[in-house]
Amino acid sequence: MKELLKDIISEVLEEMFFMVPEGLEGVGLQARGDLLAEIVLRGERSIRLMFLLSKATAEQMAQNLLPGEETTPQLVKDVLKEFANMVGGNLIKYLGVDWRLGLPEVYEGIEALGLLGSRQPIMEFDVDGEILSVYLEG
Amino acid sequence: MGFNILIVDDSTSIRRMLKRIVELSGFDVENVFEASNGREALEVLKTEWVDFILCDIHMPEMDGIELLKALKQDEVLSRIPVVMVSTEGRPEIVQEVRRLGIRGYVQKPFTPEEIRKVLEELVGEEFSRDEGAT
Repeated sequence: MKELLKDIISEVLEEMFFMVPEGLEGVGLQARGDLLAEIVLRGERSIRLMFLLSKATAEQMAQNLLPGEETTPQLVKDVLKEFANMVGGNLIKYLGVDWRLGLPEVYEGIEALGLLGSRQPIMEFDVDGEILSVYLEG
Repeated sequence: MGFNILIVDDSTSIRRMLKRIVELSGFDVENVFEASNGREALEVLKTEWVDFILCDIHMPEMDGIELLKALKQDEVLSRIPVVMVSTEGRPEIVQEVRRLGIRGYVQKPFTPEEIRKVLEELVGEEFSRDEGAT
């Protein structure tokens, strides 16, 4: 699951957002980031995927997707939802037809860090010098 | 007269991206309409004629499969070619939408070239059909 997820995240970032993520060895102990994108996959059990990243990375993703457009906070959140949706949608392909993809959500600031609590990421990427942390539950 | 295209996706950024690809692809586009789910799409279709629909599957309120079924029930709307653009890649679901008569399928993440290619094929087919009819 971890390797598959890693490949899917890399493919989505490269193909859709023109960013080349580098997998980092080991994971940080402290959550670092401003925005948290979440998507839940429901089937025989629930899988919750969360992505914590900096505002700068999120804005860069929006700029790369829609060059020249003003990156309003609303657009940035929409882009992050779509990122979570694409990763979840590509993962569900390997889980089976009985699984359902939930609607993505984005949280920011204290709310985001509060949701994470003491969870540890399962992997981290270096994306243009910023950290993208991935959390998986279920 | 150029083409009218309807883009149906709950993501604003994907709608804008698809609109940009369509407009920059050199097709003779008259209007690009947008809807954030199937219900809104049907509202647009009450007043506007569209030549093609680019449609997501997973959307709140009314998803892409429900929209396809609604279009199929209408004699006029069922003739509009629909291309699905979705994260959905499970063969069973893709087969289900194909059975509902879609004319193309692009899985997200996609490149602009993939969208252009499927539109070119569609425009070619429609052009040939129009020529055959005259």
